[in-house]
Amino acid sequence: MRITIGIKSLDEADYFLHQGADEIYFGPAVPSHRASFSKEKEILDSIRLAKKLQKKTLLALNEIYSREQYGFLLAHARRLTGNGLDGLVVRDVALLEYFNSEKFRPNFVSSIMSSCFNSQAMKFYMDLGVGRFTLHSQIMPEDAVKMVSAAETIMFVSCLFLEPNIVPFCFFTYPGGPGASKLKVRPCKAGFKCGRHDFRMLESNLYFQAGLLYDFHKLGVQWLKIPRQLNTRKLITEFKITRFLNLLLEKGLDRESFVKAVTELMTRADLNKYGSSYLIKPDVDIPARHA
Amino acid sequence: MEKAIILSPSLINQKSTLELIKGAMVYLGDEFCIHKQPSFADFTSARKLTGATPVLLSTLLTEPALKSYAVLLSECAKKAPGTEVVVNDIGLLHFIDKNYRGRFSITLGRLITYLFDPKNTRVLGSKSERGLEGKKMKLWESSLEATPTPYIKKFLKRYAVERVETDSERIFKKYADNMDVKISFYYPMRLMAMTRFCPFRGGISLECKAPCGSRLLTLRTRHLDYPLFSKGNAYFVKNRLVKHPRLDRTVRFPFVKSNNLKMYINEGSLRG
Repeated sequence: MRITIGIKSLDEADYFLHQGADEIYFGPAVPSHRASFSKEKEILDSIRLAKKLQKKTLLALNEIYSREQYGFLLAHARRLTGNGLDGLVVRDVALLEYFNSEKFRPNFVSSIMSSCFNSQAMKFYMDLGVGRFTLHSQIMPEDAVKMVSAAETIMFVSCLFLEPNIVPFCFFTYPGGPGASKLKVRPCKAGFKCGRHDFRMLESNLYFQAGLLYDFHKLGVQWLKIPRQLNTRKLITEFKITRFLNLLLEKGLDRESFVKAVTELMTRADLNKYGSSYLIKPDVDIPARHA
Repeated sequence: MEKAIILSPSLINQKSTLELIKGAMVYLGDEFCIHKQPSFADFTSARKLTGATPVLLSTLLTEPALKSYAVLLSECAKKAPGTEVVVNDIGLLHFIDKNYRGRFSITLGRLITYLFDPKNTRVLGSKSERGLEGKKMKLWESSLEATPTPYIKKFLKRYAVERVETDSERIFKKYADNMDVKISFYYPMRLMAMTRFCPFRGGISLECKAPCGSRLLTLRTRHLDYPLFSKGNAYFVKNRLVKHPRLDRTVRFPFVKSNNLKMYINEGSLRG
């Protein structure tokens, strides 16, 4: 599978593109958004670098935007595609329709936030110009046969990203947010009491996650996705894990050995030591290009 | 004002169901679980039980679940044309539009109205009265998460939508103030999250006989200043009925309070 990774700086673009990422994606240049570039020039430099290395770039407009922002987004996206950007990740149907009405039709990629759970939902988005689809992390391989055969598809690396709840229908606040001022982790990770019993929102285990990765690869999913995050060191580790697991898949390891390898690797890597993906740990940790 | 009650198909043949319904309109199905979607036999039973045509209530549908739903729609189109369908899946909406336009009365369920407006609203019972809206947001953030009203108007017309549904006061007012579509409101619970990792089954089930029933679990943690409720595959907070002249239908679900769920810890790996 090919690897697409979310980045937030030119340094990260340089590092991941040289370390084997096939595609980088990034948010629009919006001042103050900590997971995005702050200047358009940096994005243009990243696109140029990717072009030079014959890699791909995507702009992620992964929000629902208000009408006042459409003009800025269109002009921004047009300038970037004019300079070699390969496509846009979009979840907002109104924005997609606006782009179509303005005759702006680059390669559109659906986001996990598009709530696309079946081939008919894919057709809905295809009518708006979407050609590549991000499979929701709570879709099982058994459910996705028709979807994978219908178009180019992306999956999240299950052992790195498999949320307990279905986005975009999870409305819990972040730790420290309103009503959750004492919360140190996201509510989906918190311990609850149900009467005298302990209760946690159910998650999957590593065996399950490894099996998903293996089965989706066999099914023919083309892309592995590593989401953007503020915690750069963790992002780098996740990238290294993804690259390694992808190599194992490409080598044709049998399912049982692959599942064992994933569980051993993830246990050894212990991603908890890096802290949350939402911790602001920017680029300082980026190793030298060929480290 | 119409009153509606959500009934899982498994409740249809129980003795106490008529008492539970109390003359309300029946929403047959579930918004959060593919295993609680009705068959045509369930539809017929519900119609026989109440003497009225039930409203079909759907969820996000996986491919196999959509295939089963297509069978139900095919039967209903022939034998009960005009049946109201609460659509919560954009694929189902597309499917009905392409195959049965005009044969069903389309209602956009609360998942689709949230798809357009996913910004959270205040949590009733929380000390933080204004919820996320009370947080001082950066300028570019504050205008996110709200699909423009003219687009929604066009969308409702494009898909011949007759009614929209929500459990959010903010979303209710957006439709009430700007569109002439009928509007339903869900209470006394507002959605906080949904999942396929079912706490009652211990993971994602490809087959299920709905052991969750109507159980409602009250969940508390010192980290949140409000209680959370778990029912089926979704989590809720308390909700208050909106008071508005445009409100013409309320929707509620039956529940039995339960405090004795023995959790499956880290066994969330069912696939079968």
